[in-house]
Amino acid sequence: MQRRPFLQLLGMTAATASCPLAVRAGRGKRVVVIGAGLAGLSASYMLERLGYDVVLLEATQRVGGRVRTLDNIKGRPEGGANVLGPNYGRAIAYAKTLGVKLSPPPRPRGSGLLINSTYIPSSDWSESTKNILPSHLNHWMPDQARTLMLPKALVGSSDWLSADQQQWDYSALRFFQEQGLDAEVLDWFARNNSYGNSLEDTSLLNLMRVSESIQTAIAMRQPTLVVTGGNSRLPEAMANALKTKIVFGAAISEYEATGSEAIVRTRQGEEFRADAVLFAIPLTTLRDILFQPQLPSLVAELIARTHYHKVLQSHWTLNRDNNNAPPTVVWTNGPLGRLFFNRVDDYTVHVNAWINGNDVDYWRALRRQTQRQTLEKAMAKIPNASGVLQHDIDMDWVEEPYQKGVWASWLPGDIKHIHTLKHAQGRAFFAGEHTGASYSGMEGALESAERAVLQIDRALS
Amino acid sequence: MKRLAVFLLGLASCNVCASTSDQSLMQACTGCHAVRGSDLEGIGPSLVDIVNRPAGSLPDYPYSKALAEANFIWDIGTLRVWIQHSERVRPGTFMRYHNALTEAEIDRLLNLLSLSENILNEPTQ
Repeated sequence: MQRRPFLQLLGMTAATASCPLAVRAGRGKRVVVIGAGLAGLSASYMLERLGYDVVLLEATQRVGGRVRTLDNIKGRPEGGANVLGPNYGRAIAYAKTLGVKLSPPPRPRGSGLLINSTYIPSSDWSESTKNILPSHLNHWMPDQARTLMLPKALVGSSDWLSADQQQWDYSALRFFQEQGLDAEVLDWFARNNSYGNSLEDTSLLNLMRVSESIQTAIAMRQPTLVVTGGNSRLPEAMANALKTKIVFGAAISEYEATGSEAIVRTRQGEEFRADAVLFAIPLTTLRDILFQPQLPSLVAELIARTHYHKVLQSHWTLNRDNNNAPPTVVWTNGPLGRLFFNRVDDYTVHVNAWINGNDVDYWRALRRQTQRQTLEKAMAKIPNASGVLQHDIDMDWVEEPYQKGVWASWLPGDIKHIHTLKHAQGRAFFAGEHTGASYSGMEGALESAERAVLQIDRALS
Repeated sequence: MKRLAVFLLGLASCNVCASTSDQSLMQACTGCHAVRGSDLEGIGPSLVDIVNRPAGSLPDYPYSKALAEANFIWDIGTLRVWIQHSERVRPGTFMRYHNALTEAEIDRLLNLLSLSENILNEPTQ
């Protein structure tokens, strides 16, 4: 037995032996959690289990945040978070614990590209005259080629945050220009890039982070997963597992910390008092909250200037007169982004035009009739995509008042600062995918909740 | 000496009193790992009896090549370094983990992991 652990054991013994019966970590301490997305739900769940009195406030009328199954559309497409990686341990554990079923997504039926109105099946891509990728990469799709050109400097999942990797935190446009790429290829690399609204505003380091993450997931040789019946069933099950009742329609406008407690006020003037407040909301929503005392200037500036990635999904139903279905995904060089085709039944196909970045502004400016014509013109080129199109909904994340985008897209040069966003500020704590370290997306939200709960428990116990 | 320590800790670990934030420390693991025999299986291998187990040795667990080929024992020292830098210790491990615990918290966590199961039982509601 080493000396140090033994002394610690003794210390622990003395401390725990004196605790009154049935006392647990958080008994009697109040935590207000803001935001009933995955981070807020998970933090509330863990805090309750540690014995805290939790109040969970949600600005909208639903749980899940950016996890959002479009239940009113045939086939229940996902309007938000799409798939769980095989390494999403926390999400998978919640599903198992709460009896939520997971399954692999449907098998892909092939893919293709639509370049300037010419359709090319992926199998023909490497030989296509439209393919102007560098020759050693020309058997890859443009998004894959972009990934394969990235420097491979990251080993661990959170290396992107370490000081010795910040040399890579510059504009991805500059990097790809330095590789001598043709202007059209640069345009392809900008299109359907999910980590910056333009290539110039995309951090090379952030792209490297995502690439490392995907490579590790692929190495596991296990399928990605979706929640059976829709991804929203997971946050709903998490909400049902809470003891506290969620307060809906509570949009926070003000946070004030006094020596003895923290107070949050809603826009409607309601007040909630607590020993700690956890903000599990995107930076775009933190911007709307007045902090007293003010947040440190670097944190406030990051909250103000960080871009959120623009995504608009235009959802349509395609009614066909025969039971063949289009390929699963068609990559376009604009303005439709990527077209995802999901077979609902023999004669119905769900179409999701997933538009990214600044192309969203262009698409939004078009009249619905022009949007329809643009889509119909594209569909006419794609095999098994003819039929009657009916518009279902535009899931425009930029217009969502409490999200204003899908995820934090760090401006080049900012990654060295973002650790400050997870520092506690007095009684204020912060979680959400933007504070994830080893993960982004859904698992990043859950990872951040785990870290924030540890910080709160340290501060209050 | 070790027995004495375990005994002392055992005394303190009656179910109703189990730990202020031991449970919150354990949450660093429980997202992905079972820590008690009664836990549901996580995506990571079970940590029940982890201390002194050879690395990569659970039958039927789909380890990464990095761990399947490992040739060391999980003792307190290797576990401590692992929690801090798993992906640097064995590049290619599937365990993506960014440590948020202090060194003292890691030591406490390792003590918890090395003890018999009952200390990890959750307190009654």
